[in-house]
Amino acid sequence: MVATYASYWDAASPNHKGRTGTFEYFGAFFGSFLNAESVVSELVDTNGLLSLSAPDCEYGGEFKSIEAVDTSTVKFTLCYPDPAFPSKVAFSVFSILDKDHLDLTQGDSVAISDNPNGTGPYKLVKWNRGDSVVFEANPDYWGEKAKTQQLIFRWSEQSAQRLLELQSANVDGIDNPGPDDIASIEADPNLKLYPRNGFNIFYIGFTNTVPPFDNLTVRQAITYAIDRQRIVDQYYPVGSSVSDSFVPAFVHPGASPDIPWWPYDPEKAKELLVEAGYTVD
Amino acid sequence: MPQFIARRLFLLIPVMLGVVLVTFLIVRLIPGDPCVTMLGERATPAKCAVFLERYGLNDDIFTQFWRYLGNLFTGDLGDSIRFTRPVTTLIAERLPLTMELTLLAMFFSTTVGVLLGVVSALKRNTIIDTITMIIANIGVSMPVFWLGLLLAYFFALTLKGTPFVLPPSGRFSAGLSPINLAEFWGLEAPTGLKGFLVEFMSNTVFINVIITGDWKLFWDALRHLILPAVAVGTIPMSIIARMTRSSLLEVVGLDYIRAARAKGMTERRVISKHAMRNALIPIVTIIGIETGSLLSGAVLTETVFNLPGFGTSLVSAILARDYPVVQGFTLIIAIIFVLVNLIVDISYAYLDPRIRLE
Amino acid sequence: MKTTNELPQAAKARRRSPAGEALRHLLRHSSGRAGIIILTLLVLIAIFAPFIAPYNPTQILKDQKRRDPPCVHLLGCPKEEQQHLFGMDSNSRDLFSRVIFGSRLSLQVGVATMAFAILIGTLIGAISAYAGGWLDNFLMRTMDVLMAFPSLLLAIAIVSILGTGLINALLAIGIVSIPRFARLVRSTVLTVKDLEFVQASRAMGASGMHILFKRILPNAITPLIVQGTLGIATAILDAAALSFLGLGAEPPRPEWGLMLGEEKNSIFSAPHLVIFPGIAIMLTVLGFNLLGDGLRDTLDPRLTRAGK
Repeated sequence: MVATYASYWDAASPNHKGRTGTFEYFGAFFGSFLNAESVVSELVDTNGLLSLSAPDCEYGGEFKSIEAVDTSTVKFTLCYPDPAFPSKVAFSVFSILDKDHLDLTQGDSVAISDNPNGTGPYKLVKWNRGDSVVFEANPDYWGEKAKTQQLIFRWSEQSAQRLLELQSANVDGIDNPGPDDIASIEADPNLKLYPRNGFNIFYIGFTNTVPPFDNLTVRQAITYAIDRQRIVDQYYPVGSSVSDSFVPAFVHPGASPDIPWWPYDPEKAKELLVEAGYTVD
Repeated sequence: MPQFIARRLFLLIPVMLGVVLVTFLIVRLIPGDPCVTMLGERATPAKCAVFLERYGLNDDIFTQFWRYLGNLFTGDLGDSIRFTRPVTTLIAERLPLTMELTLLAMFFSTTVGVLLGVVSALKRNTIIDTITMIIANIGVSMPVFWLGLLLAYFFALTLKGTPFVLPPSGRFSAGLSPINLAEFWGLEAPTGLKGFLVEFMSNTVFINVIITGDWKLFWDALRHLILPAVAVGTIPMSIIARMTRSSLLEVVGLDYIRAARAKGMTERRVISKHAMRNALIPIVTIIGIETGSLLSGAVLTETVFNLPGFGTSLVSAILARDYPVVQGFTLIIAIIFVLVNLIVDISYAYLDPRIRLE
Repeated sequence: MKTTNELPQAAKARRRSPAGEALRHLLRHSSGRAGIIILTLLVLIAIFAPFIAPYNPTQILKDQKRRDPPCVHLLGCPKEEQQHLFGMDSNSRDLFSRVIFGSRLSLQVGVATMAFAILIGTLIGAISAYAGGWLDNFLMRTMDVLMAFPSLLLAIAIVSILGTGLINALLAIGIVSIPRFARLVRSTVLTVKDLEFVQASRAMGASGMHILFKRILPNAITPLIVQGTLGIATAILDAAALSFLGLGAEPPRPEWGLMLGEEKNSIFSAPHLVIFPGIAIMLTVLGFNLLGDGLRDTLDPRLTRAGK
């Protein structure tokens, strides 16, 4: 049973540019394994401290070695600098798991999902597949305790249905109200609207191996022809904006606001299409 | 009677084989490389070779079919490609809801339909007759999903605050869920047929509640199923109402009814004792035919009411090219359908002795 | 007061065509009458759609607001605003025009699917009944297998093979409807095949085909018409269901089911988008159901005893 662990990035470490990361774990138990088919490596056990290293970085992966330095420290040595590493390691699917739990479940993702052993503010009580996920507060959580005793997630693909559930008081909160429902939510004295940063970019991609999209001029023409501002105004909630990068502007690293995108210019679009050999009416 | 049943069961065999063949072929005919569809951008030729090998998709069609038949007999329907869980487990999780919905809808459509039909027939050619028949005619013309949307809106929002309010979506209220029978009985993760049955029974609210006594869950589940059941059952209800009416009227003109009346029986007894039994025959037929429409309606209603049932998972499996799930689910539906028709045929024979002699 | 001059003419029997006779009966039957009225209106709307609809159904009216509620000048909407009888949909298109043009789609869908199913079903049923033996058995078992699946689910499965789109949805619904007609024609042919007038034809030396088409099949026309009309009703509902799920008509077609599927999230902010297409479907299907009922009662003498 994992007690709790917290991690903090040692920003003062001279290595924090990304090649080696040292993470402090508070009472953590360490266990991990690598896919034996893809890497020839050995799990070395030194007095109960495990370590695993690849012979070289030729296998194409990110880790050179993972070592338990002591009972509460893990050292990752990377094959190349990765500024996103702290974010990656904090991502739930890459979390460090309790060794006994892994032995019990054989690392099977389905078994782990059915019976997770985590260290967050809530513990899983029941996963009603297709219907809901039920959590209760974790009394042993190392950080700020959960504000409610119980937490239940339900989902629905239809925004009208989500709003209906909220308005009929069957749920306490919803995420992603439909853009056209925002007005009715603000008008309703029983409801409160909390804006948050949107993580979504809507984009259209071309399959550039299929004609006519294999022609760069055609692709450019289509790009000039799309009025993105109008799409944002018509279909997206107030506060949405035309995006000039693949990543929302508030995400760092990632957003590149200084790189210009093509503007809306239907005349130019027509010119380019003619140039590519099409007739435009 | 036993010979009749035996004969019917025997005729079932070629049909079932045909059904198995059709489900097998339908899935193979769906265009799109399953590996590319499943793995998307990660589909490299190397990974696809492993994928195809793992799911036996490299062998020729006859080997695949033979293997499929063999697996069927051991109750192995394969694993879902998307969820890597056995198809049988998915069936045990999803089918009970759809069955409950269908049964509730059938109950609604039969009781209300027969009632309307009888009232109509008793009061024939009066204003009540006209009104009930108008309701029936409109009912048979309504798109299920539209009715579902309107019902959800009306009962959840317009009636909010009244005791008549009904939840607009979901199977249970937040936080409520059926107790897992395996835990209840202290079983250690049962597998195979036993595991299937335990999981199935856990998810069938009626059975679960009888065993565990959690009646609060039962009422909650029922409240969530009322609107979908009404939406699904409206078309069959209307058909049954009209059929009851016309079949009662047809029978009522016959000589033995006149004899009963001449003997001095009240109109009510005439209808209930004599006319109904013969009128039941076409009603039973309709129930059999309408099960198909109930199951189809369930798919649409599950979408509208966000119920995690059989229909929605089948449609999403088809769209995702999850072969084993599509195969297993279609097979199960066909089996159920065929069985229901068999029961209908048998009750037909029970109600009308002349048919037994065929 | 008839004069003796008219007697010889009175002796000549008045020739009424059976179709005219049927129509007369139908109009007297209340369901049939209602059905004919509704459908005549529908057909007129479909034919004259370009004249009735104020806008092009797929035209996006860029300068106007989306999801506007209906604005009818007669009912008080100010004259400065553009009139939109049913309001606007999420893509700034006039809903009234879309619903009007949708009638064309639904009629085409209904008639095309039934024509397809009746044609193929008749072929299968006639061949089955005439040939008998193992061919009959095989064909009928195949029909049984097709009927072993609920029709909408089978249609969904077929659409997933053929791909989505209105034409494929039509094919799928048509295929799913074949067994019903095959069985009907088969049983009619079987019943009629050994009757005396057919045997007489054979004795007179008429060929098999001639007997089949001229003598036997005409008996099937009545139930085919009835089943076909009722089948149009279910075909329209099924097509709407497929479009609702996203498997049928593709945008921007003004198909009623597609409109409902696209706008199901607008039920709060713009309920008119959900109400009007739904009513359109309902009325159309009602029309065909009433007509089918009327036809069944007038054309099938066995049921007339039971009254309506």
